[in-house]
Amino acid sequence: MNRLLKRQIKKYLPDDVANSKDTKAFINSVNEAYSSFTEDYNQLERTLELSAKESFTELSYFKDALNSSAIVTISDYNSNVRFVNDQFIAITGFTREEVIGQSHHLLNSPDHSKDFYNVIWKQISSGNIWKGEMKNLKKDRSEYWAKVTIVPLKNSQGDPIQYLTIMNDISKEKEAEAEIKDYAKSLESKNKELDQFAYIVSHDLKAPLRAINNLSEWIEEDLEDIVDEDTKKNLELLRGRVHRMENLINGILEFSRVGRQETNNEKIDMSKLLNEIVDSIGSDKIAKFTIKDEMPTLIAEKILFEQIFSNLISNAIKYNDKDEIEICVSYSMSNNDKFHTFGIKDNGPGIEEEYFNSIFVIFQTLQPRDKIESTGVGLAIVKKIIEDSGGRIWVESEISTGSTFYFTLPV
Amino acid sequence: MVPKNLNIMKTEQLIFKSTDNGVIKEIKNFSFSPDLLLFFGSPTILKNSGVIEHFRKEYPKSIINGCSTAGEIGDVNVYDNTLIATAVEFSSSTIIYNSIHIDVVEESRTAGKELIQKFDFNGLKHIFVLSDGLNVNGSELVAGIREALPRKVNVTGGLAGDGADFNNTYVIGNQNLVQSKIVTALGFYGDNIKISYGSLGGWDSFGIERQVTKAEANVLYEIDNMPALELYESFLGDKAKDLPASGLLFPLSLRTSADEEPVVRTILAIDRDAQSLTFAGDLPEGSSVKFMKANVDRLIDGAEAAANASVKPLERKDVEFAILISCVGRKLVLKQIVEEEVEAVKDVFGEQVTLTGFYSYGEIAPFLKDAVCELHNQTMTITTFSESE
Repeated sequence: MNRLLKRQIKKYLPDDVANSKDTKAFINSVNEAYSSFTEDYNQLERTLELSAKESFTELSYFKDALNSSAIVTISDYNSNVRFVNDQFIAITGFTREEVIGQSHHLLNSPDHSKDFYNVIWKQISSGNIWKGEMKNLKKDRSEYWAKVTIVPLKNSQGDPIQYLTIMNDISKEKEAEAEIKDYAKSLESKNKELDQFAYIVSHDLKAPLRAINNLSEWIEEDLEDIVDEDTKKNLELLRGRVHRMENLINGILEFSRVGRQETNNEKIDMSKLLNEIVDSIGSDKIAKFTIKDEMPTLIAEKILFEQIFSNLISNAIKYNDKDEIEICVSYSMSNNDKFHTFGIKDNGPGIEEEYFNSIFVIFQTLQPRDKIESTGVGLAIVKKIIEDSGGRIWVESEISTGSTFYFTLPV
Repeated sequence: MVPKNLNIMKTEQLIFKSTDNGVIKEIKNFSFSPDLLLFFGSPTILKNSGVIEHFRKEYPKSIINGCSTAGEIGDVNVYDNTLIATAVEFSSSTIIYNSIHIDVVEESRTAGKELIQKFDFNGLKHIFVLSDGLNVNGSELVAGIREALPRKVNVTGGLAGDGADFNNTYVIGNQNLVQSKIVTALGFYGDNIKISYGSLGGWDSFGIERQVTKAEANVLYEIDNMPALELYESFLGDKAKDLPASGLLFPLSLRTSADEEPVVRTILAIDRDAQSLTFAGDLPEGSSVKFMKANVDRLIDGAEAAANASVKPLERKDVEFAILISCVGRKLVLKQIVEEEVEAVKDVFGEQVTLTGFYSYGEIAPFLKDAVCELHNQTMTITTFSESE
């Protein structure tokens, strides 16, 4: 019989009552209840113990994972450090004795303002998680950058009582980031210098060139009587080369200007623009100019489209070997309506596949300059404009049938 | 007991207590010829007493149904090793009986489907199902029932029990009477009958979440890559020797996906050689499980809440008859005060209600009103009946 029950019966029940049949039945039933209660209690205790062990094990896995992946500190509501993990010790050089019980401010970097820390404190002391990057001090007063998450640990009323700080050392990333920034900055200034250089060079080169041109004309005038046909021809060739050189210099100038010009966006009716370009180049040279698809109206820099189309269309005329020049412009949307695609098709001699890329390189001409006067700058400018705007240009061609230049521009 | 003439529906209840081998000395008859005779009794008494055979002869027109139990409910009392017979006469409602035999457990789903398909859905109000508790996969049976069931009709019911022994369970068929391996269904028809239900547990999950790593249908082998039986034994301590019954103290809360309502699964059998546990429903591999526990107060509150959920407050006094199907696991926890949960239900409905029912190996009911029905464990599942003029 349950000990407690036995005691109570001995104390309070007279023997005659305790031994009566009904009391015995009653006592048996109470005893059964006692023992089943004890059994339940033991079971509950066992369950709680096992369950607590399991929960603790599960929790320690998380703890171990956290400790092996990050710098962890715990500070109390007064910002005094209560716990630091091994990673903290390894990175900062502090010993546990030196930081435990000390204020967390010990780790604050003088590079951050008081306000910076105040904002963080305001956020976490009101029970919210703070995430960000900050510099922290090591024992030797050097600093490291850390990506930081501060989690307030709250009591049952929801008030923060401790703060769990999880940090990852990102000093290397910060260094790399700074290096990239420096590099980009120096690259930018070098590019500027280069542009300036091209501009100045072409300007300065043009002056002596004009002088040569003028001088050759004067020489020709002065020697008008004694000059023979050969010399005259040579002087003409000289001036021809001077013009070619001037064109080359103008090309460089124009190329270096792409991207430096500040122009404004405006509404462009593409089909109107194309007709204007064809008229200005000389519509009489073209036997058949067609616009195949309905052209869009775009908001863009007009001058860029002018440069692209006038270069491509005048190329289609210049290099054409047929008696009747035919040019056709097409338009579509591609890549899920993310790009405008234009196509300029001619019926010229076509381009060998091996030249598909080199034609877009500056100063590259497929034919000797004596045969067709060309600077080799036009397509390079077109490519630069398009790629600067985030588009792409390529050519498809069939020998003796013609070529199509395609280019895309983002919407 | 005096028949209740005040109400439209007539009910009368008889309780037969047997000797140890299930013999009943004297068999009484009812005061009226019932439409429906429901029997809930221990397996031995069902097999040996001859009471059911007697009533079959006595009331040839009545529909006879019922099953073996892990405890019988008669009014506010819970009995063991008795037979509770409840006679019901409806004023204007019709009952249709159907049954299906299940040879192998794999047939559970198709059996559920075919059983429901036997009914004429026109005018059908509700279906009440009783199934063999050991030779049927309960969750497959319910899945089959769901496939065939018209939207507006609901199903409640339960799986037969065998004390805390898990050896033989029986369902009482209308003609062939006490049998294993069958599932029966009662279809209720009529404009004036109102049938409602409520089903709630009162168990809470605790501890860490574990994963089912090896299982086949309702047989569980491994949890978190460890033998499942070992895990149960460590939690049960000394009571491990009482498995499978003691396993009912730790049902599993099972969730197949994170956004799903968890269902409760309890142990039906163990196999020490295979280190496996057989549950009343499926445990798909990869699903998450947590142990559950309950205390007596929460279980009694759960039973009361099930009664409250079943019928709107104003209609509770109209409930004339209710079938209570409560899980054997609840009985093992409540022990000496098991009747408290039945009293709690009676208190909700009032004195006019006639209560019968049993402690089961599984309960069938929707989670919520008008949701699809599910197989439950560890719940108090109440089906209420009232008739209007």
